[in-house]
Amino acid sequence: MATIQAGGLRKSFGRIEAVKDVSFSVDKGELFGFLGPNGAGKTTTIGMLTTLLRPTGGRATVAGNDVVRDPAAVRRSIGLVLQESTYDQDLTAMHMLRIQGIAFGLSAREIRTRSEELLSLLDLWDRRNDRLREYSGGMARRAELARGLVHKPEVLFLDEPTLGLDPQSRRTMWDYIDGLRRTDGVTIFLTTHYMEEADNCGRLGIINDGRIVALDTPDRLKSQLGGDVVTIVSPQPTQVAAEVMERFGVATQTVEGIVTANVQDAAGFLPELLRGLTTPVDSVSVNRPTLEDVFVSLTDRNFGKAQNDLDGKRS
Amino acid sequence: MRESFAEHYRGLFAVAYRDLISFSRGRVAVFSSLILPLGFLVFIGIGLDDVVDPSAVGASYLKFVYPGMIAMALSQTALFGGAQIFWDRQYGYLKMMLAAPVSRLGIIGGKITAVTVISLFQVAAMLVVAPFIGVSVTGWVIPALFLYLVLFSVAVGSLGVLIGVRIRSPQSAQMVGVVTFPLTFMSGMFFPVNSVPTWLEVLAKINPLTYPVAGIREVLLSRTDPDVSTAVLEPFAVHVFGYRMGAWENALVAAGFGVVLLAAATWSFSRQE
Repeated sequence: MATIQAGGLRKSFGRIEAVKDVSFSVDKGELFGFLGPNGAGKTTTIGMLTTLLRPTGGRATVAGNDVVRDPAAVRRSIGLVLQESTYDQDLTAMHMLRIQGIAFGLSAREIRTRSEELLSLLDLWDRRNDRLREYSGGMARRAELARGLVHKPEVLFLDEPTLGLDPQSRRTMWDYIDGLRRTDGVTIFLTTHYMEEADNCGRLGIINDGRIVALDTPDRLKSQLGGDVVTIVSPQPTQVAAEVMERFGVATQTVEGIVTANVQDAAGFLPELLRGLTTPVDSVSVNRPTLEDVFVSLTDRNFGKAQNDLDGKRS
Repeated sequence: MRESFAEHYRGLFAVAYRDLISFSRGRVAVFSSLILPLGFLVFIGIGLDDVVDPSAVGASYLKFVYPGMIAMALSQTALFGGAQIFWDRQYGYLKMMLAAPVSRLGIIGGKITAVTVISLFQVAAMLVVAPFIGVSVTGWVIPALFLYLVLFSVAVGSLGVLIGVRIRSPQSAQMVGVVTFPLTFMSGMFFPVNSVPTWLEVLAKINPLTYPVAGIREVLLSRTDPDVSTAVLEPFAVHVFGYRMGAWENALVAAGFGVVLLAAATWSFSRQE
């Protein structure tokens, strides 16, 4: 039986339908990536799976328990690292883990051994009695990860866990999370705006406007897109897009003034394009499709762009 | 929703632990919570002591207002402490508790336990000056006072939580002040409710805080010699339709008020996402 199972999940806030139809399942020990532009319904879906939000319709089970009928059982089996920070800056990492341990019914001894284990592995043991106020962003995030793991959850929900972290901190976190999955069979549900993280997932679900629009392994999603991706940079992107459509019958996507087209055979198409195009062009390049291209073709939004929006919002 | 006993007390312990640690680490807050009520007492109590006729309030004004000041300190701490749940949500750490296997009642119970401990600590500091005012806190006065203070804190703390759960924006957090003002000023903390204009008397008697305030005063001043005797206690006793509320009845009003508010706060909190 799947560890996470969602069927026809829906959630409305007043008249706004944040999640319209979400169905998927995640197996035990899987690293599942949940991608989508901002406002597509990712955080709302996580909210429902973690019992923080009540679904308007559909149903979901996590670790075999229904999120509506037995939320307490679901809560016992999950760990959570949310997008926004959720700690009191005046407390220390030790306080944070102790509070979490008490809430999950761990004994004082268990709390002590688990804290030492987690904080050492995540490189925080020496700073365990410092106020979180004095931590860097990466340290605070690792402390939040440690808190999410004190009670040895079966399922770990990570909502943009490495947002805004330096590569070094991201590496430390990922090494640890991946180890958990391999050795303890912890199931990981991840949302991210980082391409490399998405590429490492076993399977991806892409959500757009409240609906799942793709659900497969990263490789298969890329090959489904097929062919080559031609990227055209021009001072007049709208005209380029119109001309490519008109002359060659090829549909394009324009994101941030950069025009991309998905074609079967770029080697044959390129000479034709350059001969036929009258609009001035700065550069043309050809690539194998990346997840970025998959994302753009499904959501008309740019992966990295979403990232920048979020960084802007945070700072 | 099935909730075991463990889910209540784990929530209570986790939240009370957090709030108490958080309070004790804010040195300025600890210091001001101890000094401010004493400051009030000195300026209002001593300032008005010579102005107010003792026969109107049953004792010297300083003695009369001393229990009122204790009740005021308690209600400020409990109301603001309870309403703090709004900021817990705002800063995000309430979410971690909501995603943990603890009950909503447990979370609220934890907040109220913490404000009760903090306010008792505050009252203990205020009781240090009792001998200088001529109030004797000995014998059965201590457990009776303790009981009153706990009932009072739970009731007012629950009201604070209820407000904190209902408010949605930092602007409406001002609500706490709007509620505190009439509740404290129309509760007999600063004047005896029997000797004021009828409209004010009616408002004061509708205010549930009036009863525990009268109770705290009766308990605290009952052994204060030499100028307080049973006869002198009468001017600040509360009469409802001619019936004189005794210490037990006053405690019962506080307990009833507490149960209703705690239930309302828990209900309101449980319905939210």
